[in-house]
Amino acid sequence: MTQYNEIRSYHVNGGQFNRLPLTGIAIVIGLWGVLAIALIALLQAATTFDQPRLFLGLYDILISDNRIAYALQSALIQATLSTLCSVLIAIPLSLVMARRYHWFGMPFLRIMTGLAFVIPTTVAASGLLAVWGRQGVINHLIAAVSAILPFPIMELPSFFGLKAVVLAHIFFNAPLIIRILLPRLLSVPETHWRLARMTGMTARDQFRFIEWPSIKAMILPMMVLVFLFCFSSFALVLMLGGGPAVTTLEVEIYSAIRIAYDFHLAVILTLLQIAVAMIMLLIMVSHPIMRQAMPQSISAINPPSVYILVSPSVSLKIFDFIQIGILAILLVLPILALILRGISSDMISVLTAPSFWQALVNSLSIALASAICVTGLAVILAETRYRCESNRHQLSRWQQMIILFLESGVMMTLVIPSIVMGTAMFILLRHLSNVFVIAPYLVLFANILMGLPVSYRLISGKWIIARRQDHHIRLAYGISRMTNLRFLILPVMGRDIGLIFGMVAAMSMGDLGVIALFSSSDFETLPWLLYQQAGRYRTDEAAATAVLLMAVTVLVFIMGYVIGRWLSSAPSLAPSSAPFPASLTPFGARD
Amino acid sequence: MLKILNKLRVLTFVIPTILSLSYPALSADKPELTVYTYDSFASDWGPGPQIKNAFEAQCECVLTFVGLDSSLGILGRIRLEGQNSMADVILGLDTSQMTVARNTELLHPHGLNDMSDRLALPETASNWSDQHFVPFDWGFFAFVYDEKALSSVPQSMADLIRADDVKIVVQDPRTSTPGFGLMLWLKSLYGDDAPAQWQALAPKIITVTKGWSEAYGLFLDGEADMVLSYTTSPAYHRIAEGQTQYNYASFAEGHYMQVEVAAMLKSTDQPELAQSFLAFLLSNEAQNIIPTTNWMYPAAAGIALPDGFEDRAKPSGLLLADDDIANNQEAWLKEWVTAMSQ
Repeated sequence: MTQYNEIRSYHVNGGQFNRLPLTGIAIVIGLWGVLAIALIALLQAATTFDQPRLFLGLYDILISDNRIAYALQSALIQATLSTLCSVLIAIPLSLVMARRYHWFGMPFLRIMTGLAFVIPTTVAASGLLAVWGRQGVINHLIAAVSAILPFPIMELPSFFGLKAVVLAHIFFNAPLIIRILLPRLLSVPETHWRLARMTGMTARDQFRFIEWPSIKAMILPMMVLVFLFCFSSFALVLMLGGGPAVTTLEVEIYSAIRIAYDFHLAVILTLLQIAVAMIMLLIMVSHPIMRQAMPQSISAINPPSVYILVSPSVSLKIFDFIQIGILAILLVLPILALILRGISSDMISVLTAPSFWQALVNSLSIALASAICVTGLAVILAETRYRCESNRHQLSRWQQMIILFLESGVMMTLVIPSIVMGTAMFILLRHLSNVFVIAPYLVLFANILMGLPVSYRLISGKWIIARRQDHHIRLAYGISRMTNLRFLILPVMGRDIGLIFGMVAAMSMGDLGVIALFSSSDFETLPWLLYQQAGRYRTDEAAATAVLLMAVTVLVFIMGYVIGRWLSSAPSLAPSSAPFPASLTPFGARD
Repeated sequence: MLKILNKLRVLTFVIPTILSLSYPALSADKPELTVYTYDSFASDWGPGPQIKNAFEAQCECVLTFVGLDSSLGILGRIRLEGQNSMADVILGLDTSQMTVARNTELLHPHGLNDMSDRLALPETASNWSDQHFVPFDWGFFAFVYDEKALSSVPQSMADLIRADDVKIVVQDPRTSTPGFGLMLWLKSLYGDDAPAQWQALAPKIITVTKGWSEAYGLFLDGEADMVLSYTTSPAYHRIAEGQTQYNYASFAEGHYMQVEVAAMLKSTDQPELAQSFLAFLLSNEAQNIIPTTNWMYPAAAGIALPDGFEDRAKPSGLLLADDDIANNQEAWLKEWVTAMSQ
């Protein structure tokens, strides 16, 4: 009966609109609701401290006090630069990583790209400094070389400043972009590559006709995601920025809450961040690229077996070689530096401390719980996004509005500073008898909000294509939703679901987030332990903990990969399923 | 698929159970004293655990330290909680926050009468007569350097400001206590001329970090010649690590001081216990724990410092009046941002 109803609903709607996704819409309303409640709670608490001045304040802050305007300007410039650089570096890199998929070093590079995004920011910064800093690898190399040469060579100029912040943001975000683009490139049906081979396409043609069309729909949403990350970055910007000239609004929000107790100011600044995010999302949703339906078909991720150029020219080899070199210097060297420092330090005393194991158990529980929740939510939201679209090639204004509402609801959690969220949660829950008992749940909740934007971005694009693809099969055979999920969706999407599971779990492992605001010694997580060690002269132990944290993160990531393989293990009925099961390759498409 | 859902359903029960298991049950029969402090005081390596053991041995109570993210966090938390605060005592504010804290009207006078006799604070703060706050330790802010790496050490703040080959790392006064301390340091030395001095200092500052740990890490990694920390930092390296090459630069004009204080709350349901805890903080037992765990000077008189703690005459201390700070801090912060952004 259900099946019949579903099929009928398609006919009734004439393919114009799918069934209204009520669960998804409820979730989005919930996300916006959380945000609204948080800001209202802050405003309400503010009135107990001083006079309300919300609208008057906006004028004061933006016009008369140039500090805020300056912070806004600085954050915009920094975030724009970081985003452009990250994208420009990541696109050719993901092409190379797809093209040289079977190169022996590639599984290692893929693990590294998964790792970068989840390293705690200040730890990563010290890894970057180990390469680029005054005592870094490069300066040591220069010193060694200039000892041989008769003339002296200039040392690197000081690392700190805008360039350091941009470089650090590339370190975090280029791997994330690669993580989003690579599956798209690997999901191009094998027939496309065969065709390219038969018609003798050059690398440039291949990019123009196959690779670019398969990734272009992802570029804008990804840029918005990266932009919002960089725009709301905080400790990293301060640490590497070289002074308050390179700053973000988050610093001002932090000091508004912590020093001035000016919650009005904090709310106004948060609203300002939201406004910037909304403008970005509006540009994204209304851009022509986004309005076109994505016409391309996809298959399960499979390492291309015939992904070979007709003439793998020397220049292309050199290009690929240079790209891999860039990745090695940007990404691998800093991580290796961190690992080396950690291993040579006081590993034993960290491993024998009971607090480490307790923190590990706490972190793992939080990571698994948030990974399960976020994966579920991301799938539901991706499905919602799909159903918001008609099957026509142009979206109506109304549909665009719904999509904007959805996308912004998901992305908004990125620009809510954790101190705002934490303080608001605290205000709301302060009447509970013991706020520390619910601390783990608050951390879980914050992690869910944090993981959602990335995982939604990772899954939604491909989910929509996969659903469009199975649409006709479902109509033709009238199969049930569960069968559809099992045999049409999961074989194609399983690995992506596994990826976001691993990714969110890994992110939660590394996030300090609101725990700093709520923590009591009863609930320690690994990043909190790390933070405490670093704050107590224990640099050595902190380095060891950082390496252990990275190791656990890699394990969690691999767990996501295994889950992905298990989910996608059903025989696929999807139209262009992989002729080569991914399991034949040593490391599969994911790691 | 249903199988998958079932498995997920099991997990939704398992995970909260794991989470709730990680809580130790509190013993209900003894009275509990809750102390809000900053995280490193409460951490395993801080004074927290030892002070807890020592106090519990004599009080027939349970002492619970709640480590919050910074001393700013402590003040923020009790302001939000108001009359319903779980805390009986707050510990770890410094003198610059005293007026703000007093103005919340949440604090209760400590009622310790003979306190000033027992204290051994430097001259600048020796006349301690505050009704609410009990000082438990103190320190000087100072620039710490590595003797092996830096040969020409500035002898005064003016030297440092004029020096042209020294790279230093400091903290942001908007987010960190030492950073705020440096702002007050320059203010107490130069008054209205402080912004100009900051501008002259700016080229030597490689970066301004969010907190102490990032700055100190950068220094240890060799990124900077000097880091803003405490005169007691070298003692940590000598005593805990056996490393002698770290030292602090003694400045002729004097060093800005940080006096850390504790106070009890009006809303406490254990006033006697809270008061006896404040008195305990100044006891020999507690004061002897402070130097090698919190790495600050003890506030009480007659406490012998451990070997290696201090081998130089103490510099003279600078301290601004706390109501002066409370009234001007917003203006000074703006001044600092403007001076440093140019």
